[in-house]
Amino acid sequence: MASLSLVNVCKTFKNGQIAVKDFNLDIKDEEFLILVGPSGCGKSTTLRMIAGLEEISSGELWIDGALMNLTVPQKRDLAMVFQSYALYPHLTVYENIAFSLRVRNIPQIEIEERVKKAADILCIRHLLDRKPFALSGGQKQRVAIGSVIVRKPKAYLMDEPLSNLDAKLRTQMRVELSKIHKELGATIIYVTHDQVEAMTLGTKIVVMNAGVIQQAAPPEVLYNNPVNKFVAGFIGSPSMNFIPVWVERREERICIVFSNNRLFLNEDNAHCLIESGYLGRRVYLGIRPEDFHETGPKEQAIKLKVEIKEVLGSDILLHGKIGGNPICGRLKPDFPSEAGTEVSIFADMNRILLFDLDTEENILDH
Amino acid sequence: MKLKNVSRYLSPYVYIVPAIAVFVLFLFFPFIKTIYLSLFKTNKMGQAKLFVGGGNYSDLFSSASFFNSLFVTAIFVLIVVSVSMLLGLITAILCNQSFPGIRIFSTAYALPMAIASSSAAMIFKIMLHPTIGIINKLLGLHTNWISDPRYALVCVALLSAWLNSGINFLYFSAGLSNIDNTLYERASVDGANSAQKFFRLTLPGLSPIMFYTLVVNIIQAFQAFGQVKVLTMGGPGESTNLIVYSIYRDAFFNYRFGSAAAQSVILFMVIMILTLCMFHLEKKGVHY
Ligand SMILES: Nc1ncnc2c1ncn2[C@@H]1O[C@H](COP(=O)(O)OP(=O)(O)O)[C@@H](O)[C@H]1O
Ligand SMILES: [Mg+2]
Repeated sequence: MASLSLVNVCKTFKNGQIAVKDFNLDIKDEEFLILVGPSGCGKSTTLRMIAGLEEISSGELWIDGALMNLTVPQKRDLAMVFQSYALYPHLTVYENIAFSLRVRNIPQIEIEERVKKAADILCIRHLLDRKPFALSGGQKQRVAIGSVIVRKPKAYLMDEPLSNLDAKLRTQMRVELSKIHKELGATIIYVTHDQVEAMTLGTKIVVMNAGVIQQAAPPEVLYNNPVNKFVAGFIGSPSMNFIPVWVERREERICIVFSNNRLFLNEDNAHCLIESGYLGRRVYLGIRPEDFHETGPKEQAIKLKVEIKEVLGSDILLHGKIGGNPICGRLKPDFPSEAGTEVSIFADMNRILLFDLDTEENILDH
Repeated sequence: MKLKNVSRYLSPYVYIVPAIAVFVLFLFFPFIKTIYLSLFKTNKMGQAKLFVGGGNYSDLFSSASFFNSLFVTAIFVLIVVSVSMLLGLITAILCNQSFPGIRIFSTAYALPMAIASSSAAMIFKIMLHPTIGIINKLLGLHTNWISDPRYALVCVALLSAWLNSGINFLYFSAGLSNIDNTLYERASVDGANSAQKFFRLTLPGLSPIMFYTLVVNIIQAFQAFGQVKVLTMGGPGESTNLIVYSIYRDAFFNYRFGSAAAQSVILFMVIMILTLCMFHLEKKGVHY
């Protein structure tokens, strides 16, 4: 396994489309790195540049201290799972998995052993004699993963490998991938647009938007302390609520005011706002649905007119509007609420975030 | 009521009458007539006069000339099919890239398809001319290509191969563009070099179209006529007397329509058996 390093990597396509801008990242040995972001933000392009399938327009790619920009894919010693699986249609599952070993002229006995082992890990032993056309989506996907884990490359690259699976299988495969990562001690670079996958799998997550890295951090940091409104809104499900609010001083305390609601800030946040001169200005308030509670101090109550109530079993989701902004709250199932009624809910003021209205950057750097 | 039933029963057949009529007139009738003629001795007008049963066939199987025709045809088919398929494959692979001006090359490689075999043969005849031909000029030789029994068959075969390569180029180009490009990308990352990609991906990926192309090529090669007629007239000696040309000669020079018909029937049997064999093999050999 190996460490990788990308320095100022840019990609401009022939048609002038800029897919990746100034990408700087160090990937440590045995790291499970996730590239996440909305569709079209340049994740696949980044992965393909690392694999050598796409030319790097400018910048440097280092693998284990060697410059790789001009090295052909064959010589980079990486293994990749493609989004479309890319199974060889004329070969059986066994031969598909064995392909990368065959082209390296590895002895038959060892091929046999490694293919069987990979097939056991992925529970596809009974499929080895089938051709790809006779496999379901989930089985194809496991074959694609099998074809890379038979090798011991410097790093595994995976491009949305779980995107075509149903929810149950996806959860199951997530667990399998985590296990594989631990067992192989592998460096994995994993592309997804699914933030749940990103949070559950990654040891480090890179959030991208429009070809630019927004934040690279471990999952907890990304969740608790996003650098800007984009990351805050992208990570978490349902996503964070945003409300434009005024920062004001009332009764000797700092509060935020929005459509007949007034919330007092805690000491630290109040201090922070005054210091950075936001008093009397507008900012974005960010609250995660799970940071709403059923009880709290009277003066901090927020009135929410419930439009839709979703029952999840362990929780309920209340959807409504505050001053024209859609709000979602996740509350206990026994909380008395019906669609059409008005309820009082309370925001956890220690967990709120505030973002600059123009730059959308996090004001409260915890 | 009854009339309505009858018309309902008949109407589907009315629709297929035109197609059937064309088939009967131009396909079934000549075919049956050929078999019929092959059992007779004919007069100069091609009318069946004397029933001889299998006589024409037994004459053929004791004729050295006929066996020579079969032998020459076999060699001819072998050269034409292998060379033209190879040409088509190589040109298709060369043109399966994108760079400016690629269309010019594609057109050039597909062009033989559009050339009539006899006009191509005329041009070849000039190019192969012993004194003024460009081939001898370029090679600095004085070989009499088409009058030398050693070279004549090869010359005709190579000309036919070139003529057939255009359509093969088209088939193989279509086959190549059917192979998913991400497979090559995966193979690159998997560590396969160009030769491995060719033998492990391209060839198997082409195998369905390869089979089809092979069948069409074999049938086409068996039926080569125009180039023989123009270039060598079956000569020198009988060295290029392909079976189709031999049929033509028997019928229209020697007025032995019975014998010509018998040869036609044999040619038909040979092609049919070959095709059936290949379809049988396809079930085992072709992937997917
Ligand atoms: N070969 C190409 N030529 C031009 N533009 C491309 C090409 N491939 C991708 N793009 C563009 O680059 C951007 C990033 O694409 P991609 O990396 O595939 O996004 P994703 O994050 O969804 O994987 C997209 O806007 C896409 O349209
Ligand atoms: Mg993608």
